[in-house]
Amino acid sequence: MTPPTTQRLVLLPPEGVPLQLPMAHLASRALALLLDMTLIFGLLLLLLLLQISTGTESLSGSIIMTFGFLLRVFYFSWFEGRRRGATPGKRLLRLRVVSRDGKALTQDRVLTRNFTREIELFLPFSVLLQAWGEWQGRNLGVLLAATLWLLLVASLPCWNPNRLRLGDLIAGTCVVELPRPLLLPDLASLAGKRREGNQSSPLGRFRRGQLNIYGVHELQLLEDVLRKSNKAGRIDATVAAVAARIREKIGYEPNLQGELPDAEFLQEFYTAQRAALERELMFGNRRERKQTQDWQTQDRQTRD
Amino acid sequence: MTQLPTTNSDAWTVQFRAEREAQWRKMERILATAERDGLANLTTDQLVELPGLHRGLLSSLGVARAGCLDRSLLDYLESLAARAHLCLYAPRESFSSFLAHQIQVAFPAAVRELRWSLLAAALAVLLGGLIAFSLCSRDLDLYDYFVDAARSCGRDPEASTEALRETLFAGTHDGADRLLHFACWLWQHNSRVTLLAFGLCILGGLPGLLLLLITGFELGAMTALFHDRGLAVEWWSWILPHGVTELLAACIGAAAGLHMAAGFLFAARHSRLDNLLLRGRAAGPTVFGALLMLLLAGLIEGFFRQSVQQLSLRYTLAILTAALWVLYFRRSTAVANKPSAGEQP
Repeated sequence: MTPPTTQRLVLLPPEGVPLQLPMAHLASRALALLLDMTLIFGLLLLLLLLQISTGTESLSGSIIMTFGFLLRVFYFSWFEGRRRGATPGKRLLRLRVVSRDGKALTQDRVLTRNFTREIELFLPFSVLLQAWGEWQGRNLGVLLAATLWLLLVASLPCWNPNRLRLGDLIAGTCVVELPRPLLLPDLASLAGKRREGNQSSPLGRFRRGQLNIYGVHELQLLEDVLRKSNKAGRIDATVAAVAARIREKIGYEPNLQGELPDAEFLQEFYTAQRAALERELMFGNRRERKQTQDWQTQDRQTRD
Repeated sequence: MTQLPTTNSDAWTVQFRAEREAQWRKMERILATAERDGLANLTTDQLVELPGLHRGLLSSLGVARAGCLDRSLLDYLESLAARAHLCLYAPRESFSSFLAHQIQVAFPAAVRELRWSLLAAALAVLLGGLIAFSLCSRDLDLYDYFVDAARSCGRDPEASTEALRETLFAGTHDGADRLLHFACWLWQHNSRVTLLAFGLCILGGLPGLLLLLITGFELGAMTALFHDRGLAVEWWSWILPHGVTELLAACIGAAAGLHMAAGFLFAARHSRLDNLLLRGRAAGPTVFGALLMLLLAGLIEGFFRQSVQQLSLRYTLAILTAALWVLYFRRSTAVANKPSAGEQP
């Protein structure tokens, strides 16, 4: 479940239904970058060893050196310009580069985006290493000032809500997260299945007033509870507590057939509540949170 | 209190989902294949079904957003629709067609666009060169301030005239392998400097201009040294064949950054961020073109300069490269305004 505070990129495709792509978190991007840099350095190290073994100035040595250079400069551009729009590090974390205006991601944007990495990534690190080495040098002040300035540039993603790097800002791209949630079985239809087996449970187990209390937020919390308990395969204390709370809140009196077990009660309540709220939604009334007044006065009001 | 029965206890979305779930699953399978292997590797049946499935998916998403309260269904449809959109509207332009378009049309046009920034960058180098030249001509002791000891490789005021002449004409017996290695190394080094210049110029322009100034310093100081020893003609014949291309490429890279910095600082018609976006799109391919120019310069520097010794040949090549670049960048075809294959109209 994506938290509601994630920034989203809103695209309007030609079909007319706006799409919301969640932007990648800072941590995901940082981790993807770390993975990519590890891969690059690992490959560069391999190439270096290869070059040393074949001889630095031979033909193969030159080819290897050039390949290493191309790897360093064009690794990101190559992978992001392909169909997937993601480097291997990003793919592992299900991230993808997209164009912010909703059009296709063209090669020129990808190139622009990645050429600024030189000053964002490689320069701060080399300057820092130099500063480290020249601890007593007279250039220390300059180096530290340069490092500070460059770190400000490199940490640009922290200063804007869309987590845009300098390269993203210039090229008009951003990085989005594309999770692959599973389609879990419909909870409302599970209740239906149970009902078919048990002929004695009537429709309309709940009075209308009882279904006017909770809102969408509570319904989705209940959905979480039910899914967790279905996944765990056993009834735990949460289910009992939630069932008791709901019974108390809506003033539920057990039917003549007897008291339902907690899990089944929650299932029935979820189905009925969802049906009621969705019906309200069709008329344009969306009740987001539970009502603060109790159901008895409300029931009296609806009858009047 | 009368018991008011709820007429239909089933959420209508249960039926909605039951009807459409098979379609969504089919779309998911097709998307998985398309993402892994590409749209071209779908079967004909899948391709025929795809538009209908896509539109059905988006319509389901719209309905679900408006009326369904099943959170897991909403998450599923949102992410599936997003993946489908990105898969179907993914970049269609191959790198080779992009490259062809760049070389033929876009790169000259972009460089013409950059002419004022290019002038500024060239002036920065020239200024650095003139300052160093005039100061070093008067007093060669200032040489060390302008040229780093590691870079001069023995070409400093202490060297004799003969040693200096040697550096201009050495390296005739290196094998092709060694020359290739030298050329590759030069390309790497110059590319790094150009990318650095590009990046620094974006950050307000001044740091990049300083870098160009420093490049000019080196050049000017060494020119002063060689002039002082009477080796001026030989020095220029050594520098110019590759120098024209190399300096031009470095200036183009810096100019791309300066253009963007200017757009950010002096926002007239568009806002600052809009300027960045408008100018930034062409900046990447321009720098890429500069890197290709540096490849050429590296090859000239690595192979030609070390092998060919006659002054006349060297000067001929210098003039030829200058003419080549002038003709290339003045080239404006009628198709310069047509968008490349990858852009949508």
